[in-house]
Amino acid sequence: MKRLLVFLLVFIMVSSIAACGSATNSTSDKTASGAAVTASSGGGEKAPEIDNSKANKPVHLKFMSHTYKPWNDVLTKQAAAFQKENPNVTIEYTTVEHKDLNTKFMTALASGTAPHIMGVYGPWMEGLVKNKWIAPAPDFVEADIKANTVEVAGQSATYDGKIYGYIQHIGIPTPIINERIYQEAGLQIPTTYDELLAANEKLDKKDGNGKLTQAGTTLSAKKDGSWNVIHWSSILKSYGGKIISDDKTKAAFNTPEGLQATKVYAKLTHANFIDNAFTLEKSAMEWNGPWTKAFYQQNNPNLKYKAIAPLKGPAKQVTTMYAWFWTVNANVPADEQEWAWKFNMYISNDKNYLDLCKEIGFISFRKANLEDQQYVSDPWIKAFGNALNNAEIYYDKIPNWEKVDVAIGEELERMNVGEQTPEQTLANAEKKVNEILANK
Amino acid sequence: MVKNKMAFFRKHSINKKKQLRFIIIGLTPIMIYFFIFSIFPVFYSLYISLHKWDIMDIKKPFIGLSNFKWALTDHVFYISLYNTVYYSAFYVTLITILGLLIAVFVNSLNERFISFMRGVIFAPVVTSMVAVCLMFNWLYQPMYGVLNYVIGLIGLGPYDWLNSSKMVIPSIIIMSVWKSVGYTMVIFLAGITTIPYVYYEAAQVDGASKFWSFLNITLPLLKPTTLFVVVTSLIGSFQVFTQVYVMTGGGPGTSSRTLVMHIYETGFKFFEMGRASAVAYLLFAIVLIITLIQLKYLKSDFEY
Repeated sequence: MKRLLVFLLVFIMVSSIAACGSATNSTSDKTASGAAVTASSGGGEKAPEIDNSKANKPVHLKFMSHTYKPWNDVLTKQAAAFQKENPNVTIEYTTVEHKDLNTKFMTALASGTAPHIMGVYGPWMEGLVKNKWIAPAPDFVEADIKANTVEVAGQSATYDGKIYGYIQHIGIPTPIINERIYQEAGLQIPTTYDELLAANEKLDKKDGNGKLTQAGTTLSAKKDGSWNVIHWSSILKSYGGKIISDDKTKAAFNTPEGLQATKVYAKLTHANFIDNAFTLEKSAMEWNGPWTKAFYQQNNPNLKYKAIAPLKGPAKQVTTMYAWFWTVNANVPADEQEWAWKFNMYISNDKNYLDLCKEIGFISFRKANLEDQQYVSDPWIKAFGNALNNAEIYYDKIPNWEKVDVAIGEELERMNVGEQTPEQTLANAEKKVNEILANK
Repeated sequence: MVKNKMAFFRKHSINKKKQLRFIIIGLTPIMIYFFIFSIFPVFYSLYISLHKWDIMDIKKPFIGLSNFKWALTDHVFYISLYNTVYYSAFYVTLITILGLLIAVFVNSLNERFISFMRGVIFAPVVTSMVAVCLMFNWLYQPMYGVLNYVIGLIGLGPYDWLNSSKMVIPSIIIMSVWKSVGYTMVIFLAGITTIPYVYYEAAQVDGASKFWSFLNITLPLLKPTTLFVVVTSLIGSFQVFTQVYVMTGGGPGTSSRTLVMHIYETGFKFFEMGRASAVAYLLFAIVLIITLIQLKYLKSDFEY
């Protein structure tokens, strides 16, 4: 009996020690220097030449992003091509549902099991940088970003003067109209918010029971994925407002401009209308990103759509945008970090990124691609490319942006379903945001 | 004789040792599992709740009861608590009454129909909760949903089922009751079949109506079953999460945000594990108190 108990005790202890040991091994060797790997082909800055002593050392890279099948398929092919060029490297690509991705990264980082390459959302970057979870880009990547990409690509990834990643994709929602509905109504394409509101008076249609059958515009009403905040912030900025004060200590949107913008936004949502109203030709306008082209083609091949320029407000013509980034885990060995940057550089080079953009409909952030006539002559790409000139990042670089985003999103949602007025919405959101900023 | 006795005791003692060894070997894996995934997290989360435990931050300082103080002064906690109590009160009442009535109805059917009806009513219980939520999202669609169309035929509605702060929790209750009523029906059916039929026969001889028999025989003798249903349903209903997460995300605004949703958002969206653990302990305390009250007042004082 005693022997049995001793055996069990020893078994548990050994198991625990073994588990601890494996965890330690996985994060050790941080100081190993990897003087480089293969130069990646495809345009852009050249990577440093390989150090033969380490070139053939087997490396297994874990690579994770959110799920969007057409995009995941292209990345899988590019990963296979990279492995072919670098036979010592194996890449394990995992995708996670969009809304679970941040949780996955944070729990994995905390438990020391995070992948080498992480596709992260811009507003998460501040916290990741502050807590040293992600590594600053090495010189060869920084040089590539500074020399070969549009200014906003470097700016949006810069924290305390250092660049922390390649842009994975730019989310730039611009107005998209249903050409058929506009033509049938005999309306000109709106260029300002006033023109849009006037057009919507003709385009909003109701049946005998007062039920909406067609909407002039359907902006995002729900807080899912921050979309209502992104749409609202475009209007807010166009009307001269801003979300947070310059010193980042308090909310700055409860102003006359903010109220005017919020009233306009409220008129453009139609929270109770059907989902995907634009694709189903029940709405004459929505604001969405370039990737929606594939969605329209798949779900309604007859839809005649056109991306137009961001609308002008009383203050300026602006659309708000966000970006996702390819970042590298700071807690993996240095030589593996270097390979991870190599891979990031490979999938972000002129050729591979252009291939991806053409396949998925992303807007390239690389200067050479934006000069590629075949690519930019596509009116759809051209419209989004032009919108980049009027784009501003919608979020502020503060550690608890996620809370601010949720607080504003919830209040906008309540307004959109008719629970509160725009005035109440701004007052409630202001109170919540100030509380969040005060409890940094 | 003495020798035989000694042999008997020795043999018996060996058997006991063998039994004990078998029990230990059999139970050890599950006990290890239970310790790692149940006992340890319970105490560890208490430890976390006393610290400023941000997943992203390496420093995790001890802050005493500050997380509990934060939870008890945070208005979202009270909104979540109100929504949870609102949901639980109606859900438990409906599921108990409907489960009992359906069980009585099914029990009164012809033998052949009992199995069929039991299967039909129990089917949603074994269906995936997420699938049911998605199906109800379509049914509840305000403009083109089937539910508004059907109630429109009798001159009611349309309602903004999931988009209105007033309708959102009743909508989730309706869906949850539809999904789970089969379970309580089965429990009540089992309870009903244990009631000796002679009581009904005696009542019948005395000229009692079926309704009288139901009130004075079925209901009192089902008291232990009812207690079980109410206590387990209430504990489950305080943990409502999947429906809210999938159907509304806690919205519109915070109108359907429940305590577990609040814990999830605090812990896994904002990564404040200390605060999330504190709210989890408060939820545990609330459920414990309510359960003890239920046990005190609903416990049957007789057996049959």
